[in-house]
Parts: sequence; C-alpha cells; structure tokens
Amino acid sequence: MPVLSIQSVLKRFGDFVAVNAVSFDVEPCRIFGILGPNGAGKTSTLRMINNITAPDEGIITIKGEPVSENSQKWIGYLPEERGLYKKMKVGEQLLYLSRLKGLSRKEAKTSIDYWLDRFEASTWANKEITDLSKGMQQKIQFIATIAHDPEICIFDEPFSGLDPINSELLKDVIIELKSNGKTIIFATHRMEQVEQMCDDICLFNNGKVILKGELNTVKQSFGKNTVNISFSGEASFLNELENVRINNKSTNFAEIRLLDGANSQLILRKALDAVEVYSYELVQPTLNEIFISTVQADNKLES
Amino acid sequence: MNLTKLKIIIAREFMSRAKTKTFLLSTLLTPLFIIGITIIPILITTWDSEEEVKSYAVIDSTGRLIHSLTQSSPKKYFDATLQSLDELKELVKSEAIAGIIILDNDVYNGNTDPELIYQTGGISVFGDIRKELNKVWIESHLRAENLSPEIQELLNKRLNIKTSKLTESGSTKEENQFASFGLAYVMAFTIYMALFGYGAIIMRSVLEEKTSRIVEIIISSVKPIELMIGKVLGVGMLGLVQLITWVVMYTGISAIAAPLYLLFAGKQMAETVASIPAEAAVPFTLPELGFGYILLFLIYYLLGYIMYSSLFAAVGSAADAESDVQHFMFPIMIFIIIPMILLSKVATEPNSVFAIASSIFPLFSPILMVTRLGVTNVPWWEVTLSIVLMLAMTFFLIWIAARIYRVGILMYGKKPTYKELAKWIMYK
Repeated sequence: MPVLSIQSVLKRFGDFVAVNAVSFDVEPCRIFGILGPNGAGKTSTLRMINNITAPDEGIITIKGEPVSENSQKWIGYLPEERGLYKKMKVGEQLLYLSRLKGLSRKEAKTSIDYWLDRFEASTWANKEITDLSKGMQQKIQFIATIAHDPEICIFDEPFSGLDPINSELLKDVIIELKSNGKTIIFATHRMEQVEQMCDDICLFNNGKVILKGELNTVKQSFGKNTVNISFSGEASFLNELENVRINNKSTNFAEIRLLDGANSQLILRKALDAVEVYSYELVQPTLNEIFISTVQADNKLES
Repeated sequence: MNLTKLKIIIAREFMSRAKTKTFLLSTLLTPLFIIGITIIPILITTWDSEEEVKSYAVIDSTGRLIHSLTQSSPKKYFDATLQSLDELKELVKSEAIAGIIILDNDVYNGNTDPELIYQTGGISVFGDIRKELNKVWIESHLRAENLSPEIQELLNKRLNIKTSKLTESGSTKEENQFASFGLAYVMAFTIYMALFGYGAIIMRSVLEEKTSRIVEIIISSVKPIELMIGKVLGVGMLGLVQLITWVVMYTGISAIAAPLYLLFAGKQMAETVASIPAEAAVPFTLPELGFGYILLFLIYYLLGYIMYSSLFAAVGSAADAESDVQHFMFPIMIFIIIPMILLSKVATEPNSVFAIASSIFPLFSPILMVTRLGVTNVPWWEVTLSIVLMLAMTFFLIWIAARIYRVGILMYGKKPTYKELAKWIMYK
C-alpha cells in the first residue's frame, strides 16, 4: 500500500490553477523526487500534503487516512524557505517544534539530544539562533524537521544554499533515514542529486504531472538517444548538424541529443570528416536532458 | 482547536516575553513614571514657594490697606510708603525686591486699578497678588461700612460642593467627583495604551514569524487559527499580569502615598495644604477601586484587546515588512482614536444619549464604557448589552482575522489591496 497517495488533486488561487488534476503514489521506504521548473506546482502540492492548505478537488491520503491534523505528526517538513525564531535558544526552539508535533517533553528531549549529538551540535543548545553561523543554522533546521521521528520526510529544495559539508551530511542523513524505514520525498530542480539518490520521480509542469515512474524505467523509456563524443580539432562541425540538440559542449567533448529524424551514423561520419574522434558512444539520456525535453515538449503542446 | 497545542503556543508566547528585561522594566517603571509626572510638579511648586524670599514694596498713600496686607503675608509685602519710587525702582532692577505695588485714593475708591511695577514674574504670581489685594480691599471697605463680623464672614464665605453617588443598592456613597473623573481617565487611557501597545506587539510578532519563514514550519504542525489565537492569548496573559501588578502597586502606593508625601514635603506642606482647597490634594487621596469596577474593567480590557489584536494579527500577516503596515493600520487606529476624542464629552455628560450610544458601540466600548462606569452608575442592561455586542464582535473579528491570516502568512511579494483581502476571506 502506498504510504502517500494523491488522487486527482486540484488547487486554485483565484482564477489561477496551481495544481491541476495531479495523481501519484509514493511507496514506503523509497526516495521520491518531485521535479519541475519554478512555479510548476511543487510547493503547492507539498503544502497540501502537509495539511497547510486544502485541495479544492481530489483527495490526499497518508497511510490510508485522509490528510488531517493527525497525519501532520507523521510528516517532517523542511520548507524551501528556511526559518527559525532568531531570538530563541536552540534547545527551547527544537523542544517547542517537536512538542507541537505531538511529542511529550521527555520524548522530545531524548530525540533532540540524540540528533544534536549526531550533528555534533550539543554545545549549541543554549545559544540563540542569531549567534550561530549559517551552516550551523542549517543543521538545526534539519534537526527541527526530523526530531519527532516522522515516517515521511519532505524536503523542499533541501540542498539549496547548503555548503558542501552540510550537503554531504544531509545526503548521509537521508540515506540513514531510508535505511531506518522512512519514506523521503524531495522537491528540487537540481537533477544530479535526483539522479544519485531517487528511486522514483514525478515531473511537474504548469501544475500538471507530465512524467512519473521509477527513475530507471523512465530513463530506459527514452531509449539510447544521446551521443557522447570526445574528439580533438575544430568543433564547429557541431553547429552544422541537423535535428539535434547539443548539451554540455566543451572544447573536446559534446553530448548530442538526437531529435526526431536525426541519424547517429551520419553524425559519426561528419565528425570523422571534421575532427579526430577518440570515443563515440550511444547512451541513455541524462535526467537533465529528460527534464528539459519533456518540459519543452509540454510547453509546446500547451501553446 | 487542539487544546494541548494551543497551550504549548500560549506558553511560548507568554514566556518568551515575560523573561525579557523590557517586560520587567516596563511593568515596574510605568507606574513609577506616572506617579513621578503627577507628584513632581506639585513638589516643585511647593518647594518653589519656599524659595520665594523676595518681597514686594507697597506704597500706600491712603494708609488704609497696607496694614492688613503686610499682616496677611508679612514675608511677601512690606510697607515702603515713605521711600522714594526711584530708589525702589533701583532695588527692583538689582533684583533685591520683586516689585512695587502702588495704591492711592483712586485705587481705594475703585476708580483705577492698582499698579504693579516688576521686572520678572509670572501669571500665577500676579494672580495671587490680585487675589490678596482684592481680599484686603473688600475687607477694608466692609469694615468702613461698620458691618457686623458675622456679615463680613458671610460675604467672604464660598460654598463648595460635596458629591455623593447613588449606588445600585440605593445607599449613597460619598465620593470625590474630581477623583473619579481622574480614575476614569486613567482607566480609559490604560486601555487605549494596551490596545495600541499590545496590538503592535502582536503585529510585529506575526510579521517576524512571516519574514523569518518559521511560520510555514509551525503551520505544518498546527492550524493557522490556533497559532493566531495562541499568540493573542499568550500576549494577552502578559498584559493581564502587567495589569494585576499595577493594581497591586496602586493599592500599595495609595496606602503609603500621603505619609510619604508629607515626609518629602515636610512641615511646609502641612501649611500649604491648609490653605488650598481640598481638590488640589487629590493625587494623594487615591480613589478606591471597587471589586465590581475592577471586574468590569478586566472584561472590557480583555475583549477590547482580543478584538483589536486579532485585527493587528491580520495586518501583520498581510504585510511583508514593517514599512508596509501603516496602510492597513490606519482604519484600525481610527477606531481606537475616535473614542479618545469623545472621551471628555462622554465623561462630562455620561448619561446623554450620545454617551450611551457611543459606549455601546462594540469597537468603542472598551474605552468609553469604562469611562462611564468610572463617573456614573451605568444601568445594568447597558453594560450587559455592550458586553454581548462586544462578544459577538470579538467572534466576528477573530473569524475575519483568521481568514486573512491563514492566507496572508504564506503570501510574499506584492502588497495586497483591500479587494484582495476580501477575496482571501472568501477562499475555501
């Protein structure tokens, strides 16, 4: 049974439809990526899952139960825009937020102590947030999200603004959470992280889901339609190719996406004529490529 | 409404402020400040008169007024009839004496006014001199007419009014009208300050949660209305604690004020008190706060606070920065300021139709009904009606405010128009 199920959900703000007939399921113990350009409806969907706003149509169930005050305590939510009380001590702040999630004072203290220790932050408990560095504040923000031991962790753009050390730390924590049986949902437009971590994805555009499924299946469905070529010589031959899109071009490397009608063998021939070819490989598209082409195709369809 | 969560929110809102030095200081210092600005001017005037050693030279060519004048205040006036005017003028210039008063036959007969030559002085000083001259002059004429001392005394006597208020139970209670006026003003002013002061705290706090973005984390655990009400009640408790502290301090101070004052002002004061009418001593005969009055005051205070602070919470949620709020504050402030403008009219004619109507209007009741309760006996039905109307208004405003709040806290960017606010209220 999916731990989270979204069925035909629609959300309007005035005349604007922010989320339009969206459906997807999240299976337990998976890392689920919600992708999409800015303004595609990701945050609006996350807010409905968190019972911050209510859908105008459709239903969201968590562990088989419609979203409610009760389901809120099963979720840990890290919003895209981070924030804590600036003038409140770290310990009190974490205690307050965990107790609002339904933990008793004692449970909250045990859990906060564990996580402060895990993040090597125990000595900050009596400091106010303003006295902490940005990196330290980010750690406290993670703890605030997961201190009540939620079954579902929702991170909106979790890696934005993180320094490399905290980025690594968060990745470790996410993997640790998954191995402890938690379900993780994250919304992002940073494809490399999704590619590394996600089991399943769901791509939003203009309020709709335009692509969803297991990451590998999705990638396979696009077939081997991308050419990776490395060479030495004058790269201008790339500009003469027809029915292709060049991603990721550098002086001696290019990732060439074959569009309808493009012939990979023809490209190889042209390359051989122009430059010295070191390697030539037909591969699956990157997630980034899938993202761009799917969104562009959808936008064309809309207009 | 989840009561456990509400309690946690109220506790945080209360404790995070109660622990600050600002709260402690404002609670303890405000009454001292108010007492200070009431007592100090009086102390200054009494001390001032003690310092006043310079006297006035009186030239009385009739010889009929000078005796009584120097007798009434020997320090202030001295007989200079035999001295030359020029010499005396030099003395005034060198500030050895305060001035010269010239009395002659025309003055005595009432044909011209007496002349006062001075270099420095003030209206109150001249007023005193005028009063004293008049008294001596009338007495002298009365004596000349050979009137009996009884009649003379009668002519000098002034009646004062002793006020007593008919209470609900039918017994009359002697009361200093001046004092109850003062009290009503102080109470109305306290509510006025609280509406503004705590309203601003609420607004800023909502704005802070919004701009620091923690609000989205909190409302992923509690309903927006729970956060809003928790905040309003938590800060409200803070106000209540402050108020109770003040009532206790007031009671304590009124018990020790008079002896303390005598200690400060000393003997000099005792003399002065004897010569000034009773009203002037008012700050030291603090009126007693009746239990019923305190209870009603608290009801009006709390309901008024909840009505207005909900609105201020809505304002805070609709804005993005403190500079944006003015625009929305204005219509709310109008409703707090109007009763302050009406205050003196309502206090002086507390039973006029106008006073009754305006004090029953729920947005004005906190200030105007408290004023009327202080100066008159308000019929019970008026009190009941105004409380019922205020309760209804409170629930209505909380509802409106919560509808705006739940949308506003998640809206960033463009400042909403009133039309958009109206739309927010209608959102599902």
